[in-house]
Amino acid sequence: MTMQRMALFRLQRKYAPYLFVTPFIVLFLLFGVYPLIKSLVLATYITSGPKSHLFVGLENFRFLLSDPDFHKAVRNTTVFAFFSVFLQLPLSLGLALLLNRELVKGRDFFRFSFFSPHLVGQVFVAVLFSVIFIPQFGLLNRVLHAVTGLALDTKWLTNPSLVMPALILTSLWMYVGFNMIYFLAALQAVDRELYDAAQVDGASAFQQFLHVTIPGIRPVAVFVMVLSTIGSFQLFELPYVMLGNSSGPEGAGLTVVMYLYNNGFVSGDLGYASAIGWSLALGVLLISLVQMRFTGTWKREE
Amino acid sequence: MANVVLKDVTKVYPGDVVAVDDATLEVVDREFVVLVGPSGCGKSTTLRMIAGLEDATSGDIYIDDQRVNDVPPKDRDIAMVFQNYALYPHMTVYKNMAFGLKLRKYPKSEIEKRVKDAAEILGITQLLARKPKALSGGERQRVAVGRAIVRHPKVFLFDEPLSNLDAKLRVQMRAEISKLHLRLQATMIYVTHDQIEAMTMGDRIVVMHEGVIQQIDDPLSLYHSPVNRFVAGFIGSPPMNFVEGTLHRESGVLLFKNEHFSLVVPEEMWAPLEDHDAVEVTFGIRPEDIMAKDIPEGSAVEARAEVVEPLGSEVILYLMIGEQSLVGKVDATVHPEPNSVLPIGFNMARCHFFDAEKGEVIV
Repeated sequence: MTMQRMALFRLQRKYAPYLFVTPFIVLFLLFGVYPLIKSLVLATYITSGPKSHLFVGLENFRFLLSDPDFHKAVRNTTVFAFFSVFLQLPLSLGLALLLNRELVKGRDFFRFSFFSPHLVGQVFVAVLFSVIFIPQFGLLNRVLHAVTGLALDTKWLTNPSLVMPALILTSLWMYVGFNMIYFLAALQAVDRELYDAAQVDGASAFQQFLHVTIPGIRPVAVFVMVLSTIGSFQLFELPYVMLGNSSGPEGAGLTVVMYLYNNGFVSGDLGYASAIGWSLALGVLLISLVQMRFTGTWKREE
Repeated sequence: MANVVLKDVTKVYPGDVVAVDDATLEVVDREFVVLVGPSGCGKSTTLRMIAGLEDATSGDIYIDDQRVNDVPPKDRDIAMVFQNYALYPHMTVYKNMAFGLKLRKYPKSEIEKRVKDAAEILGITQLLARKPKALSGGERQRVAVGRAIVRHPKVFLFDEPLSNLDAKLRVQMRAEISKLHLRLQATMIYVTHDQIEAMTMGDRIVVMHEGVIQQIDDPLSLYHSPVNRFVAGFIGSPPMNFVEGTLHRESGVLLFKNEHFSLVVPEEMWAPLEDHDAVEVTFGIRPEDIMAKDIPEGSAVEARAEVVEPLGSEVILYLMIGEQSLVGKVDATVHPEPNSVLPIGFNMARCHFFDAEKGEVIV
């Protein structure tokens, strides 16, 4: 080999790795980092369409604090997230416990049935449920009327106080089975011998659940809880489609992301939308941290 | 303390899998009984039925003369040590040991006293504040034993407790559990697949095979008087050699013959073998009853030593006579070259004959 070729070879060895990771870095900078920074910058402007913008500093954030619509969106989304976590997760766990028993016949069938709503996507589910919720002829009212005698013209999607329950019900249908799969996997990973030991130690079925099952599935439970919280705060398509591309009667279905969408893409103020987006991100981060703190995820195992 | 009695206990799993077939066994008070057999022989299932973790399909189980078939595990007054220790991962060692007592609502001072006493016996006092994750295998094993001790149960059940430990620790823990038995004067039932563990620890050994109890006896009786070919082959290491052949009466003596050699059967065995003239039998001889030195005149057989393993105290020879392989444990001074031919002899007074078909011992 000549000296020149040797030098070229060395040069290649040195720089080739960087060449290989370049496509990723470029894409990541372009579509990950740049929008993030751009949106943070945007949040300090008032904009009207892409061309006209006015620097206002932290004014957008200050306005958020006193914006009644934003407050409503936060309140709605929080209520939704709260019920999502505290209704969905126990139901998911309960179903998983049921399906984890060997006595249950047709476990695979049920597992798939409960999971399948998640496969069709939010928009489809929203369309499906807006039909189910129709007064007079909707499936839900028919069943409720037959069982409890509830009025047939209960207006789920037009009565402001019923919109949120309807949304929560829909998301239950959609996510209970999905979260159940996580719990089922976690339950199956708990060492069977621990149940034997607990039985010999004198633990009742409930005590076994408390001292063996719960500690055994805790990491997964925390993971599912944090994930559903984050997911709930991103609620958008479900109410948007169910309520006919609107925020519902008296804004009862207005969520944070929907408010962001309305401001950014309907009113055209991308600056204010960015401020909403960043507030949402920080809020969700904060809640997740609190959740992890209180469930002891960070406690050091000595 | 208590006795444990199994009467005609059978366990059938769904799909007609018979795990335990008509097991009858009586464990007397303060006895150390070992259930031993290859995996899948039903020994663990038997133990789990005694614990109440499995229901018996039929038959009766008694602990301390009380029928316990329908008594849940927690009310049977037994404690169990599991193969994988089954320590609660989120509890400290102290809490692991105290858990059973706490559920039974013992006063705090009593729990503390019992846990500390047990920890002292097992030498784990310094580990009480740790979690199982931070312990070695041997330490976890001790905690699992400690959790059983604090309960002061009528019966201790051990389910292959040493199989996850390394060889050296296993030998050490073996001795410690034996010592513990002497100290606690408790009834213990111990399951293992390791025949050496069984031989060294058990007052009596129950040998199981394919769900059926083969023989219940003390270790030496099991070794010297196995009731069938399975027990003979399972107990002892290296295992007993088996040679197929037939018995023939020739010129006033009884001979065991096959195509490679013939051996004179000692006179005291003739009577029981009378009915087996010219019938297929299995000849059994333990490795240590094969000699390569001081062979009685006229009884030597030529064998080829394929592998020679000098262990210092003795030499293990892997021998071939024709196509018949044999393992011999011979005097340490014998040291043939690998693949050399040497004369060997059999200590016929210690040999066994088994029914070739059923495997039952004849003599």
